[in-house]
Amino acid sequence: MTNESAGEPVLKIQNLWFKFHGSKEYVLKGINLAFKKGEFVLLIGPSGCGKTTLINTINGIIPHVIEGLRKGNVYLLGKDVKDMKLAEVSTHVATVFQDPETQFFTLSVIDEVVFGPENLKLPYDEIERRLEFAVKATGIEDLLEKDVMSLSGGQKQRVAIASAMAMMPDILILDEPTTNLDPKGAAEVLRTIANLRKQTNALIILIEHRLEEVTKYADRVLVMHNGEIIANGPPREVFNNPDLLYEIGIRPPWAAETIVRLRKLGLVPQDTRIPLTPDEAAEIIRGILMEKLGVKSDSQIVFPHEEEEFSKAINRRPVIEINNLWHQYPDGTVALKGINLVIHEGEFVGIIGQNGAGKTTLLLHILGILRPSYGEVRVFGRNVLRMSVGELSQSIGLIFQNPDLMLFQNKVWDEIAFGPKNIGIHGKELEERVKEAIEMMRLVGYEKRHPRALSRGQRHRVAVASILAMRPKILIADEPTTGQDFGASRKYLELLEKLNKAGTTIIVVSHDMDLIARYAKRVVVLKEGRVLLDGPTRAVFSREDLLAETDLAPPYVTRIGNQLREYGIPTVLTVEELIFYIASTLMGPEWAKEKILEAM
Amino acid sequence: MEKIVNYLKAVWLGFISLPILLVILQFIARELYLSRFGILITLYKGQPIAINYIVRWLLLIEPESMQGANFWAVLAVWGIGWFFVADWVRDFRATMTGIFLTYLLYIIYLSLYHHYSVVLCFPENFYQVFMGVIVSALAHLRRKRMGRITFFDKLKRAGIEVPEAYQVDIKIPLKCSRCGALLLSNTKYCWKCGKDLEETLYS
Repeated sequence: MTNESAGEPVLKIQNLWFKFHGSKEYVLKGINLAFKKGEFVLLIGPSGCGKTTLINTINGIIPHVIEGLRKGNVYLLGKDVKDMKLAEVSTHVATVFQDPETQFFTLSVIDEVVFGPENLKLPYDEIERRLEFAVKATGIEDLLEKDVMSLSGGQKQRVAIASAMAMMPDILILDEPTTNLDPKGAAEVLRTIANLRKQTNALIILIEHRLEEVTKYADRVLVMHNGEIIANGPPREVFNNPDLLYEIGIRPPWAAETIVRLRKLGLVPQDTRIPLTPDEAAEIIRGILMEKLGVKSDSQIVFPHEEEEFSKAINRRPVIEINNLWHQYPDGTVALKGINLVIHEGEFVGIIGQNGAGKTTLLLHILGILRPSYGEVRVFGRNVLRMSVGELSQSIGLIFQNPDLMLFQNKVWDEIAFGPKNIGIHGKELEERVKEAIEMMRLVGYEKRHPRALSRGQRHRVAVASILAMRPKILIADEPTTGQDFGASRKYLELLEKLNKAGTTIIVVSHDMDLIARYAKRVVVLKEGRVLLDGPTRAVFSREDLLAETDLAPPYVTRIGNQLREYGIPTVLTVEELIFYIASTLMGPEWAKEKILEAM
Repeated sequence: MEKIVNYLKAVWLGFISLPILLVILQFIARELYLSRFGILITLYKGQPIAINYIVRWLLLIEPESMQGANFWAVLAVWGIGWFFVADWVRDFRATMTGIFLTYLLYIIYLSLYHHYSVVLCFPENFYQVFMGVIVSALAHLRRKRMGRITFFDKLKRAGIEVPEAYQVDIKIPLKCSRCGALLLSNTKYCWKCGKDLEETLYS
């Protein structure tokens, strides 16, 4: 087409406004954007900022499926999407969503990939050509004959991308394709996305929270907030201002943030290029350290205070004791293979591992939902199988991944009172418990509101309050941050930290290494039903080599620090720690403390 | 305590399982049209049968239950029922006690609850008890010869080999054999020195 040859935008959005029927506020507010073919654009923004609405205006779902008040224009290859038929739009724009299963129509991978081209009634040769192209672009050659439902999460998402690529779209939109995946699956999908860059000339728009993995591929980053584009430019330019991202609840890539902060402290030259990967950041810092301290080689793993803290746990009473726990599912899968584990009162434990490592099975045993094939689980010294549901619910509270699954009453007050009422608590004590939970979760004033009418963060707080009213001594959170932006995740984990400080034992199962590193005091790594590594968080994340056995990696900030070990930088868990140790190494601890406090 | 549980288990299982088994047999008979062959026809009359009737048959005190195929059906129920109970309870004395107590409980149930005057004749009304005793003894002998089948035996049969060391319960907390670090689980690697603990942990 002439558009492409002339370098004209393949997609142009002009002064686009949109609001849903019945809604007072516009979700999109005067968006102006232009995209060229072959571009790789990363779209970021906090939950609810309008990212998905924006892509729905591009793929035609708005206005053809979802109606609302739309002003302005979305030109796709020179034609406004609203004047095109949805079928026509779909030949140019392909979208891959978070959950690949919602996109599958057929049973086998090969049928799934050719489903789109077949529906376009393309000749057999053309379908075959497209199949070959899509399979090559996504590297799914070995999956073609398989049943789609038998694939892992990462493989399913790659098949979904292949199906989209088989349409040979001019625009490929990927809406948080790694959100529901474990680290291994996510890495698989991100590798595929990186490969797409080489294989196709389509415009790729990617919405993704894992910035570290994708910024290196992006030509441009768009930052969205409250329905507006607040930053638009090359990654190194956009991430030059991490404070802006923090303000809107987005965590900038650690590499960029580290260098920007060091620059502010005057520890790296002001013209230092913003790095996009941990390796780049480590290289810059190493250069500075080498210049100042010379070449060092005495590489040592250092844990300043962890051993002492870890040993203290044993002085408290054990709340969960797992003795040689084995579990075999009816299909023959042995999910747990002799787990022996003790968790003491007041611990904050993070459980990590790939999908299928046995995390959920372990939780279900702690909750007494599954019966061990062998071994036992004791909670407060009693076998869970001999405890009644009422007794267990007063000892352990489980917060689901999706808070909506826990909300079924019409008022926040009733929701929180439901649990205590069911264990026979009424009158003054019930009122006291509900009030206490409401105050703790900052829900005062929302008592009469419908829980479902609240924001996601508030719904999460209601869910936690309903558990707190049961006054459990152990709180378990299963993947608490999935689908949430950094700001919301951090607030949620801070809440758990507060409860932990008040004496509640917390167990968090998560794939989010950053949050585990920041909040958990102990990390248990599971691999194929066994404990691979268990110890203080810092110690566990210092063992990159051992974590690699199960395809896990420490947070990016830790990886930057681990690369600087030869300069005496210990394993760090947060960017603040990394800055502090670098500053201490260069200027001395007193200077570092003073300057960092000043900067905060 | 375990002994008491075994006795309770045997009595309770026997008392409950035999009538259920008889009803199941009736159901199978109806579904498979076994009536065509004269089997169990008198037990199933096209109507739901009251539990006191079933118990009377089980005690062989109902004239029709002593006749032909029914007699063998009742014997089969006592045989199959007590075989499984004996296999589950794994306590010969408890199973024997269970058989006699179950018999006694049925009589008490009929007499006190349904005010039925039970008249027993030896050996006619005790054939099923003999059957229960013989089958339980066989089940016990079989179990003794086979030994106890553990979860690990089942895994082995399914082709999953578990090293013997993993089958042994270990006491947590442990200490790393190299650096002495405290271990709160049977972790593969020591968090402090990175030593592979698989071998030493279970030795």
